[in-house]
Amino acid sequence: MKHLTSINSKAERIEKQMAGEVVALQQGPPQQPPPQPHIPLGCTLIFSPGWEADSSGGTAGLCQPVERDLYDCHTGCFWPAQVPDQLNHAPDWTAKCAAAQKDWRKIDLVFP
Amino acid sequence: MRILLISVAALTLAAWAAEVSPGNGKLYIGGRPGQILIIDEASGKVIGDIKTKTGIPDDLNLSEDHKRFYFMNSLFEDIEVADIANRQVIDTFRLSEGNKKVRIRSFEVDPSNSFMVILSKSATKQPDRWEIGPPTLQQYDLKTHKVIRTIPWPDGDEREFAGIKFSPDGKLMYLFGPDIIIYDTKEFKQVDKWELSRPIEDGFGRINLGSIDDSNEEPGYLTGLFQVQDPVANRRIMGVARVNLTGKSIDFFALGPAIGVSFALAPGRKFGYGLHSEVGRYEFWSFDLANRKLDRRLEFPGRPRMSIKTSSNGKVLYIYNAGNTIDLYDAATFQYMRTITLDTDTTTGLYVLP
Repeated sequence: MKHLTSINSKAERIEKQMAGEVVALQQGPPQQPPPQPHIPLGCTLIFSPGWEADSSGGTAGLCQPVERDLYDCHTGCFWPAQVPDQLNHAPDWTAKCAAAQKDWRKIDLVFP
Repeated sequence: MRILLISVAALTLAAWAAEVSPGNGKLYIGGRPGQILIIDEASGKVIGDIKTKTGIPDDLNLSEDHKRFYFMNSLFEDIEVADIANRQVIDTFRLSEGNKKVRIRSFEVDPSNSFMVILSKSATKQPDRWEIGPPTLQQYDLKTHKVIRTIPWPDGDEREFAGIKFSPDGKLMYLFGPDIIIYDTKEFKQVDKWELSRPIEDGFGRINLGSIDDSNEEPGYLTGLFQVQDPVANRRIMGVARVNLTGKSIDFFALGPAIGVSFALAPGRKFGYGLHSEVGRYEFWSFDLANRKLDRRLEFPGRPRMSIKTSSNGKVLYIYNAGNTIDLYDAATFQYMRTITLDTDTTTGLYVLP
């Protein structure tokens, strides 16, 4: 189906650019870079606690142990994360938790 | 069967006995919720700690005489001074007062432990708003706990971040940036400028210093990796540079196409080691500094967010950061040896002291 018609020279150039071979489930031309995932900056843009992806869109680049990401998102890496505001309002929210992997149940609940 | 078991036990004992020793020093590393752990290097056991007074330690710095640690807390508001021999915090201070919060971004202590230079930024609470101050460089007296002066930015050009070093005699301060600005430490006036932003040789691009380690260096020197644009092949290349701050000279050699690698200098300064990390791919690198070449590189099952340090005798590599473990690898073979598991997540760099 064709819904749009080019009416100026720039649009014609775009149309020519788009008129290539139809590639379905095959690999694209080798010179094209692979499509990159669209990763929003940090976790706070998606309201889903626990959701997290690394820079490649996977999870292999997250901290190991993964519980450690809870700390370093906001203190070491300054990666926007859904954690309490330690700098201003909840400086002690992890004071009872020395090792995130072992003691994460001791982390304080902080309500806004 | 009995003979077989005895043979296996004997081989295990022999392997244990043959394991490389990391040395007889002590490891110091900050951890949650408020301590600097002291670990016996030979046994890998925690033998003590320094309790902090203001919470989680961050940005751990060793004094020039190796007698004190200076560090911030994770709120970037308080600075603590710890005496290493007595394992105690001996001083704390902050720049915040009243309705003015001052967050410290970085600091550097002069070699005589009498003052420090602090880069900070303030936020002052007004009835209807917060007023954010400019990044400020200040000289702070450690004895009187007073700001002595505000140091002017070079050409009035404010910087959000700044690398600072002092000369071994404490008479000069080096402010790192595109160029190295040199101040005297009496009046903190600019006395010289080392224009690293210009190529140091004809036909050569501008040198960009990367990962640097001065923990095993002579005072006044820095060794690390650098990148430079190769104008002929139109590509970035990397190499190792040794910077002589006092003599304003750089001794360097190229290694090959540029790639992100961290750097740790081994005791004796004949070898350096590095880590290359991509998602799912981790490599050890070693640099033969005496023969000015890349020694080896080997892929290994690392982990995201690693830092590297050499042991006190240079025979073992410590891999740490983002977790409660320190992994030990044989520096000669890059083979995994064992893991030191701590009861706390670490938050600072690792220091290895005799």
